[in-house]
Amino acid sequence: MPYSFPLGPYHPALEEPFKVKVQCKGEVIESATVEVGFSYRGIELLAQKRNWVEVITLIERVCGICSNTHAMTFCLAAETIAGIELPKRAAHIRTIIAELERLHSHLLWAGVGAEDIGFHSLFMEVFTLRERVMDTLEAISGNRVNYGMNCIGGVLRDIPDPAAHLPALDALAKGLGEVVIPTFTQNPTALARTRGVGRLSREQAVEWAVVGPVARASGLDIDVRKDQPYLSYADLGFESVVRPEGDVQARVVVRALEMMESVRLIREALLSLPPGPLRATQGLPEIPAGEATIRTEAPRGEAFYYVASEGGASPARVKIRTPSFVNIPAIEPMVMGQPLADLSIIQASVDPCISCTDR
Amino acid sequence: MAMLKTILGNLLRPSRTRAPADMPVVPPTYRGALTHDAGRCTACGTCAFVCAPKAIHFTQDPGISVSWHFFIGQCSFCGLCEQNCPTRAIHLRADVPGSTNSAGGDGLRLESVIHLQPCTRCGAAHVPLPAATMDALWAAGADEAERGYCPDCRRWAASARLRTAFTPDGAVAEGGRHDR
Amino acid sequence: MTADTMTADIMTANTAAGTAERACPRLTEALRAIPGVRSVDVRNGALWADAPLLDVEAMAAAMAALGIRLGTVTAIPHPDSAESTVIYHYIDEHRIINVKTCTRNGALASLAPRVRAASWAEREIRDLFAVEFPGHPNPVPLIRPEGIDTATLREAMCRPATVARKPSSPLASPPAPPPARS
Repeated sequence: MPYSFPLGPYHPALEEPFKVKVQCKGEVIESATVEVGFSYRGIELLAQKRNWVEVITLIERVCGICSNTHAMTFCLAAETIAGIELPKRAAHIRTIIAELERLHSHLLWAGVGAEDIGFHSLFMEVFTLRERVMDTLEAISGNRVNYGMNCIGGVLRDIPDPAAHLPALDALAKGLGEVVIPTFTQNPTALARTRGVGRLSREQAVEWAVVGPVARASGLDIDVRKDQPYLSYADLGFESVVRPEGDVQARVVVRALEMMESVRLIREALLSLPPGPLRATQGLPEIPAGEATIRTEAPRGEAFYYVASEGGASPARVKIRTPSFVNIPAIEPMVMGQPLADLSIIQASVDPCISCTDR
Repeated sequence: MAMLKTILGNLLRPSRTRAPADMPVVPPTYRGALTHDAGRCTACGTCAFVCAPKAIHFTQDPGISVSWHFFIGQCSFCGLCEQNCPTRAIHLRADVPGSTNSAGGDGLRLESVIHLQPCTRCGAAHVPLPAATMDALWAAGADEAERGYCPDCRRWAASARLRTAFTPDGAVAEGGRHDR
Repeated sequence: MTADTMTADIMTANTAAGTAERACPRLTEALRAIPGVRSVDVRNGALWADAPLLDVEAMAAAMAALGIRLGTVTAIPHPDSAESTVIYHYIDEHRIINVKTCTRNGALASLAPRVRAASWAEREIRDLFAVEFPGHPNPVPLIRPEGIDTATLREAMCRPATVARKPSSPLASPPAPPPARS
């Protein structure tokens, strides 16, 4: 007897509201429809009603997890329009913050994922590690989220003593290498709940145009940091992590190995922090008329910004396409033919960010 | 094996739950309670301009004072006011602000009154320069009278000095009042 | 020419005519061949094709043949009419290709039947700016609650912003109420 089952909008597994309506036959999901829009805030409109300084604070609040990505991508777009060249030191600091943010986002995801498969002790281990990242971010920026590091033309805060943050990185690499990665890849409980679950084939990944770790777990080697290097990624070198399997396990492994790469990037950026100014411009920004499109690799994948200026006191148009906006629809093909009990971990494996999606 | 290792590790180390006295170290960069120094503020309006949630605004008692207002319920602790303040009158201290920061309106409100002074030349009410700035500017025993000038009169006095330097015969007419 | 140097070329190229050909000749040629494309140039590190009377489906077919994915679609409502500028942002992993067109009678053919990635983007634009995409297989609201009319943002976005350009001292002018925000 087929039945339909609504999961959400008030979600048992995630903190944010979104709804997956599934049609099931017995235990097996036959089709799914994703509904979003429950936390819509109209940020694209509000951005047109704020001056070029205020709008960065606003855009930083598109997302509570990858807040820095949004502010940074917006600043990159404004800098492109104005033809401002980012100082080397500022580019390095932005890279460090972006990679720390990726670490904290992936660790948050790993914790939530562990929780979703009922693995609470792993959740605890992961969140203990995440706290080291949060402490580092707080020590650099003065805040645990919404770091307020970016301004048009550079960064607002310096990293005066880069070596001070290296012990945290060592602890992180140790914890990841000895606990988190082995548990996710070898523990029978974790494997039973993730291997072969929620497959998205390479063809489907292309068809649904997914980005970020979801695409890389389906064998698509796309990463903005490698394909169109920005900030200091060209100087630091970058290896993308790709897995061909396309299941939840592959998404876990891609994120886990990416964290190791992030730790390496942060360490190298800290050790090679070039001297120089933090900002290319002084005072309040003046953005001439123009338009620019910028993409960056957010923790969840490619973030896309279109920013237009008419030379006025505020942006003329800010279009935000977050990675979740293209990854969330791909939950529909992933859950097809899967048991209802796996719905929770499958949709969590996309790392959906609803605030990003709705804006 | 991994489990045994974990159990042994857990037996050998103290509880990971922090005791109340064992507070995490607050970094000196922490963006906490906001303070405003009326003695340094020039009421230029930059902090209100860069404040996205409009937690800062000014009111004035014309000719007497300007008041700087801050409401914690709207503050996002981005620190842009501190970063952009040209006279460093605003600081986000590393201690934690009061916990009542409801956006409903019952949170902490700060008011800081900046008293105006009449200009000793034209009489216009203006924000006096901070005492330290005045001492630095007029330390060399320059024209002491300028201490009480408003910004417009200071500009006039400076340009008058410049003109005198060009035309040393004292051709500057005393009349030159600036437009207000 | 490797992909990296090509990207570097785009990054440094100015808007002078012909830079698009030099940066990526095959792509420029393919874009020029799409019916309705008037000009292709390189600006701010991306390829921009201007095509007010673009044949949207021909563009989708051409991009699919090149294996380039659709990133998203931006709509910019016109304040003086019911039309909107619509920009299709394609991404070939090394650069962004923007195709700028305009709605006709407030509508554009839907790409969603053939391009999955267009589905949500078109539904969002319909919700916010009342641009119709005839042919969309599932034209239900995406972020607009049921029962709320389309064009949620259209009017508000067209209204000129009252934003001060510079900080102003409260002493500079008689106290005025802060401008209402929409």
